[in-house]
Amino acid sequence: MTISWRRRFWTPTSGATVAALVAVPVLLASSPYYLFLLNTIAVFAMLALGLQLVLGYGGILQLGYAGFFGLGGYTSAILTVHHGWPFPAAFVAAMAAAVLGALVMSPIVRLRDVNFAMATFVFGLILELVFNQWSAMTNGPIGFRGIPPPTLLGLTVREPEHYYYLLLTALLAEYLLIFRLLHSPFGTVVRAMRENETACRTAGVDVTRVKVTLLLVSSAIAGAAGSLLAHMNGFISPPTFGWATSVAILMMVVLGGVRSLPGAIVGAVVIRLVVEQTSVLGQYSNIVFGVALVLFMAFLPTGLAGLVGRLSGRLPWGARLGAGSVPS
Amino acid sequence: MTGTLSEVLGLIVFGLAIGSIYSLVAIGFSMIFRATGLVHFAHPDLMMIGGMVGYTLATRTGLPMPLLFVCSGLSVAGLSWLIDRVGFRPIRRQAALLNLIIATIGWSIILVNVALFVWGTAPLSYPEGYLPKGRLIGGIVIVPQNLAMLVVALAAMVALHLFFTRTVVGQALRATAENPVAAQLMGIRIERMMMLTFLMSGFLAGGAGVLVASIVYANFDLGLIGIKSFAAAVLGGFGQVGGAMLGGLVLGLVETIAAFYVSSAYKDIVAYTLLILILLVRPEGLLGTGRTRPD
Amino acid sequence: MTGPVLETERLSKRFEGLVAVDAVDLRIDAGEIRGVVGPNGAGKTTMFNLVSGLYRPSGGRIRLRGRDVTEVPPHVRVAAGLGRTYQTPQIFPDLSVFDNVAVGLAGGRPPSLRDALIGRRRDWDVMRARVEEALEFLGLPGGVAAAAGSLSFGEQKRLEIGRALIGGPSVLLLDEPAAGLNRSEIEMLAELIRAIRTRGVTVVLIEHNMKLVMGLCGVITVLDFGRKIAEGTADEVRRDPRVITAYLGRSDGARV
Repeated sequence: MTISWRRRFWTPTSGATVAALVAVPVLLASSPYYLFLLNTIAVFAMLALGLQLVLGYGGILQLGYAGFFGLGGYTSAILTVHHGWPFPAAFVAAMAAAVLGALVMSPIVRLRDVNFAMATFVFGLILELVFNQWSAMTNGPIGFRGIPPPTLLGLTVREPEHYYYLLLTALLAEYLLIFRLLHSPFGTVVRAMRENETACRTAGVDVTRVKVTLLLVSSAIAGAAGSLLAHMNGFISPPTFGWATSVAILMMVVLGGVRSLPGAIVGAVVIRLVVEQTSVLGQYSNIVFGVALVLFMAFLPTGLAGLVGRLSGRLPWGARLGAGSVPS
Repeated sequence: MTGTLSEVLGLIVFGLAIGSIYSLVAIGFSMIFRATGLVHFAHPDLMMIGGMVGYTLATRTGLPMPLLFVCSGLSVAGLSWLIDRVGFRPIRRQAALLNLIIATIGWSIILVNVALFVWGTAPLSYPEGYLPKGRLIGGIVIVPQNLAMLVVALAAMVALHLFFTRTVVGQALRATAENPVAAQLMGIRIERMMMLTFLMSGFLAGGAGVLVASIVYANFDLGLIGIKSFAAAVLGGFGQVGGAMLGGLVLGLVETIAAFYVSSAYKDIVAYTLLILILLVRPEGLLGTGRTRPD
Repeated sequence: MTGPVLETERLSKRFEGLVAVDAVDLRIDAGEIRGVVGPNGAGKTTMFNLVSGLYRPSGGRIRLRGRDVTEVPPHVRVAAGLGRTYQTPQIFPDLSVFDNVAVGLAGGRPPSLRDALIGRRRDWDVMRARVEEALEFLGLPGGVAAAAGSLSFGEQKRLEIGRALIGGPSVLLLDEPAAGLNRSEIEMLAELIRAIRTRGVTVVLIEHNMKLVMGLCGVITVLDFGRKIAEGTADEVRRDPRVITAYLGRSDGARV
C-alpha cells in the first residue's frame, strides 16, 4: 500500500490499454454495427465511472443517476435544435444543467444514508416524469428528433469511427480527472469518510461539503454523457433516462466491483453486451437478468474486481461488497 | 351548493381511499426497513401480484371483496416470506446491505416477468360486480367502494397499531426493529420476527393490490403505482410506520386534488414536486428523524 | 493569550428525561493538563461529545478561546482549535497510517476540488512533511504505508492522537487514553502528553487510571451524576469527602 498521493496513472499496463483502445476502430472498420455498439458502451462507461465515484468511493447511494443523464441530453438537444447553439457551448451547458439539478437536490445530503437514497430515487422519478410530460420542451414520450451531430473546431463528427475517438477522449479525460481526484488529499478524505464518518467529523472534515462536491462532479459527468449520447444518436426519448437505466448503471458499478475504476468500465461493457445479446432471448431475457442479479448478489458480491482480487490472492474469500460503503 | 360539497367530499374520500392504499404498501415497506434495514424494491411488485391473484380469484370464484382481500393478502404474504427465505435469509449474515438492496431489484424484475408470463400483457379489468359505482345517498353521490376501501385500510391500520402496542408479539417486533442485539439478548427470536414482518407486510401489500386493481386494472406494471408508496414513505419519514401512514394519505389527497383542479396528466408531477419541496425544507420527512446529527 | 482556552457555562444535556450533564461550569486555562474523573456514567464522555459538537446541548454555552461555539458544527470547532480522541480509537483501518494522519489536516486546509486538480507539488510536499513529522513525534515512523488496521491497539491510539494533533489544536480532548494499555505503554503515554503540553497544546483527559491522573494533572475536575462535585489539585480532590462517597458508593445501593 503506497501513499495514495503518489500513485501515477501512466504505467505500462495503463499505457498498453489506452493504445489498444485507440487501435480498436481500425480492427472493426468494416462493421458499423459494432462501432455503434462500442460507442454506446463508451457512453455508459462514462456513466459507470461517474456513479462509481459517488457510490463506490463516496458511499453515497445515488439512485436517480439516469435523471442527470437526461438533464444533460435534453439541455444539449434543446439548445442546439431550438436555439442554434454551437455544440461546445451546448455541451458545457448540459453539464451545467446537470450540476444545477444536483445543487437543487443537495440539501438532502444531510440525511442519513437510506433516507438520502430514497430521496434520490424520488428525484429520479420526478425527472423522468418531467421528461415525459413537459412536452413543450422535451417533446414528451415521442422523443426528441433531429439533434445535429457535434461540430468541433470546424469539423463535424458524423462517422461512427470519428465519434468513437471523441468518446474515447472524453472517457479518458474523465478517467484522469477521477484518478487525480482520488489520489489527492481530497481523495484521502473521501476514502476516510466511507470508513468512518464520525472520525472524519472529529478530524475537522466538512462531510456535507465533501459529499455535495462528489455529487456535483458525478452529475456533471452524467450531463456530459447525456449530451454526447444525444448528438451521437440524433434522437433521445424519456425511457432512456428512467429508473431502468439507473438500475443498469448501478449494476455496472456493482458488477465491476465497487471501488474499482477499471471495474466500472468492465461492468459497463459486460452489462451493455448482455443487454444487447439477451434481447435475442426475447421474452426470457428479463427474467434471466433478474435471476442473474439475485444469484450474483448472493455469490459474487464483490463483483468482478473482487473476483480478480481473490484469484490473485489480494483479497480474502470472505470479503464483503460495500463493507463500510453504507455507513450506518 | 350541494353539488360542490358532494364533489369536494367525493374528492376527499377518493383521495383518502387511494392514499390509504399507498399507506398500506408504505407501511409494509417501512416495517421491513425498520426490522431488517432493507430497502425492499420488490415490495410494490408484491402489491401488483396481489392485484393479479385477486383478478384470477374474482373471475374464477366470484368471492366477495373482503374475502378477495384476505385471500390475496395471504397468498402474497406467503410469497413475501418465500422470497425472504430463499433470497435474503441465506445471505443476510455475509452480504452487505447494498447487495441485498440490489438483490431486491433483481426480485422485482423476476416478479414483473412472472406476472407477464402468467397473465399476459393486456390490462385486465375486474368483473363488473367489483368495480366502483357511485350511488346517490341523501342527495350526495357516494362511491361505496371508496368508502369501503378507506374503512378497510383504516381498520387495518388500527389493527396494526393495536398489534404493535398491545400484544406481546407486536412489542417484540418493535423491539427487534429498534435494537436487534438487545432484543436477541432478551430472548426474542429475531429470525421469527423478521419472518413475521415479511408475512405481515406481504399481506398488506396483497390486500392493497386487490383494492387498487379493482379500481384501475390488473396489470404487470401496477408496480409503478406501488412505487408511489415509496414516495409516500419518504414523505412521511422513511422508516416511520406512522409516517408511512400519513405520507400515504397526504400523497393520495394531493394527487387526487391535483388531478381534479390542475390536470390528470400532470397530477404525478404536482404530487412529486410537492414531495420534493417538503423534503427540501424538511429532509427527514413529515414525521421522520433521519438527520445525521443526533438530536 | 488571556482568558481560558476552553470554557463551559452551565452546560447541560438531557436525553428524554435522563439528565446526563447538569449545569457544568468548566474553566480550563492555556497550558493546563486537566483531568476529568468520576464514576462510570458520570457524564464525562457526554461532556466531551457536547464540547466537540457531536451532541447539541440542552442548555448552557461553550466557549473556545473566547469564541462562543455552542451553535457551531463540529468541523468548524476543529478549525477553531479543538482536537479530540475516543475511548475506542476511531481510525480508518483500511487506510494507510500516513493517510490516517493526513485526514487531520482537513480542518486547517479543507481539501478542495481545485487543489486536487491543480495541486502544486510544493504544497503537497509541505503537507507530507507535516505528516511525517507528526508520525515521528508519536513514535510511529516505521510503518508509514502499512494499513492502520494492522497496528497494535496502543499504536492505534497514538495514531488517533496524531490525527488530532496535526490539525494544530489549542485544546486536545483525550477520552480514556490509557484504557487497554499496559504499564510501559502508559508510561509512554504520560511522556507523550507532557510533550504535547510543551508544544503549547492544552490537554483535557478523561481517565479512570488514578495514578496517571494524579501524576499528570495540575487540576482535576470530578463529575458524578452529571454534576461537578469537586475541583482542585490532586491532593485536594483525593481528600474531598464527596469524591470519596461518589467512588465508594452510597448506602442507597449500587450504581448501574
